Amino acid sequence: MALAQFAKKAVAGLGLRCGTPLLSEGGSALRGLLGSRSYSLVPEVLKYSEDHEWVQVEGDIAVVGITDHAQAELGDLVHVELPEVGSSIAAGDAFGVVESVKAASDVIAPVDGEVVEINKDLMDDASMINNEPYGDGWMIKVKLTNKGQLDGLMDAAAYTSFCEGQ
Amino acid sequence: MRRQAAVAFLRALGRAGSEAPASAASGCRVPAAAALLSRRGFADDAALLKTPLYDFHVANGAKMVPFAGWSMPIQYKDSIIDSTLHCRQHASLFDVSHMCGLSLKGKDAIPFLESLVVGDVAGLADGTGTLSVFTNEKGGIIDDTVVTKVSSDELYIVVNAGCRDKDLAHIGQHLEAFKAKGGQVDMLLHDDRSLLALQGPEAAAVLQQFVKEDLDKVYFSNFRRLDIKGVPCWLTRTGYTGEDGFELSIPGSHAVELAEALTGDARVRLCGLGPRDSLRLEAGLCLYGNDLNEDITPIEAGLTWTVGKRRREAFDFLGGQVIKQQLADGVSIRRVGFVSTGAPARKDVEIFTADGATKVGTITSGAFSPCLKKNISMGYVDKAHAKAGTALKVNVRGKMNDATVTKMPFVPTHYHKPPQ
Repeated sequence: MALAQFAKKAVAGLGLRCGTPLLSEGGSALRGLLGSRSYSLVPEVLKYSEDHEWVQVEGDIAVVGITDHAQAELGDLVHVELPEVGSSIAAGDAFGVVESVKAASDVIAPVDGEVVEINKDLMDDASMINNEPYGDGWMIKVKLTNKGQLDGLMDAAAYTSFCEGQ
Repeated sequence: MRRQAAVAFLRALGRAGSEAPASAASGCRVPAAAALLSRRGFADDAALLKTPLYDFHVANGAKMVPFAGWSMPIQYKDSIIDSTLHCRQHASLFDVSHMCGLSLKGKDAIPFLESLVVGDVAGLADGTGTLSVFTNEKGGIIDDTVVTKVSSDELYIVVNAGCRDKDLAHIGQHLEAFKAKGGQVDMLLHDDRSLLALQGPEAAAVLQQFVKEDLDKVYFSNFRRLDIKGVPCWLTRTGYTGEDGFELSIPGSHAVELAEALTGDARVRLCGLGPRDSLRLEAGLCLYGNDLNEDITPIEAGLTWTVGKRRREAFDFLGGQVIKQQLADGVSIRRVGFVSTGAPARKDVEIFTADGATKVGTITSGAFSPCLKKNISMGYVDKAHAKAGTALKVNVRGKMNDATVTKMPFVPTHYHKPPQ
């Protein structure tokens, strides 16, 4: 899928570790990188919220998921709840739930918009978020109603600093 | 706000991890961001107690969380699922030094303890132990505990970290009265010792390398004083995972040395409180504060077997008359297990009849089972709905999910019992 390809490209080129040097290898598959890493990936081309969601903008559509850092901290995800297609979400409000073995956590919308697609595959296999948080683990696609909100999100460098500061 | 939520999240996680009394709902949700604060110390970190293995945990990649006043590893580098499965397949080492070990010594140690617990301690063979419960005047459970009869004048007891203060006050108060009447018994705390649990099907083979005694002859619930790598230890063949294994009381000054020796075996991995909670839930074992509390009696909790046969003649322990009555008349609620669909049904989730019309109980512990790959939980329901196979509903965040009353343990236990 487009997003997975996008993520592979982004990660291979510019994946960052929260705190320490860049990945040295170019062109590695995302799965391979994530399978053996003990650091967090922060692709350059995404936008990030303080609630550890990422946003990728394609025209009026934003793809939203949770960051590698978030999935690593949450641990094995076993259940995901997503909104209905056609529903509205508002920045700062919970739009879904991710559950690890131990606890349930809200996923907070980084932007306002209308949900145009959800990643139904997550219903059968929540671990896709652990394995490919920026790829097959995407959660929803949203038609943006307030594009200006994107300016309030962090870029990769700012998000990396934000993670370090936490 | 976010920071407060994070604290709540981590506390919930810590609480889920093991034996602490739980008051807040771990079923409430907080932003995913919440988990991220675990990297950062809390302001009151300095006030947390550390076991002798603290630096060892940190060096081995543990994520430390506040738990019952202690800084304890919730998990290491392995995920909770991987860590749970490892213990079921190989062997895992747990630091449970936060738990409180104590001894009662003296010729009246047994009658004294029997006035506070429901078990037949006198009837235990020397060098064996059992799960028991301390009861209050209402028959409610003050704490669950493993009691070992070392000999007729020495008992070794381990109680929950989260209950330590109230347990010691309770025992101390009754001890004073008992001694005032001429009873001969003294209480000794073992704060100078560490407690390690080595659990899993390969635990015995691993430990055997370091002890002379033939462990094959040491059966489930047996107690031995023996040397492990030359260090004088107390071994109890017991645990909190449903697997074969040992709890090892070790002089605190040797804890790191033995932890390093045991984890030096490639079959052994370190295991934190997170997977420990999954393991005990799969084994159908109760967590005090979740599944047991001072308003629940051992009969309601499905722990009737802990009330010794001999004790059912006189019922001469605290709350004995309440328990006598319940054994005669039956109880109105029962602890049972569930398997449910949808999102995991966790603590405080309400249980309804199959038509969703009537509330019949509440979940006290629940999570996704790493071994069974489905949602398991336990809770209390009205007796009419307690039969295995009964179809009920659990209300998880407004969704009525199917739940089926299921016999426990969810995962079969593997204790090392003597040949029949």
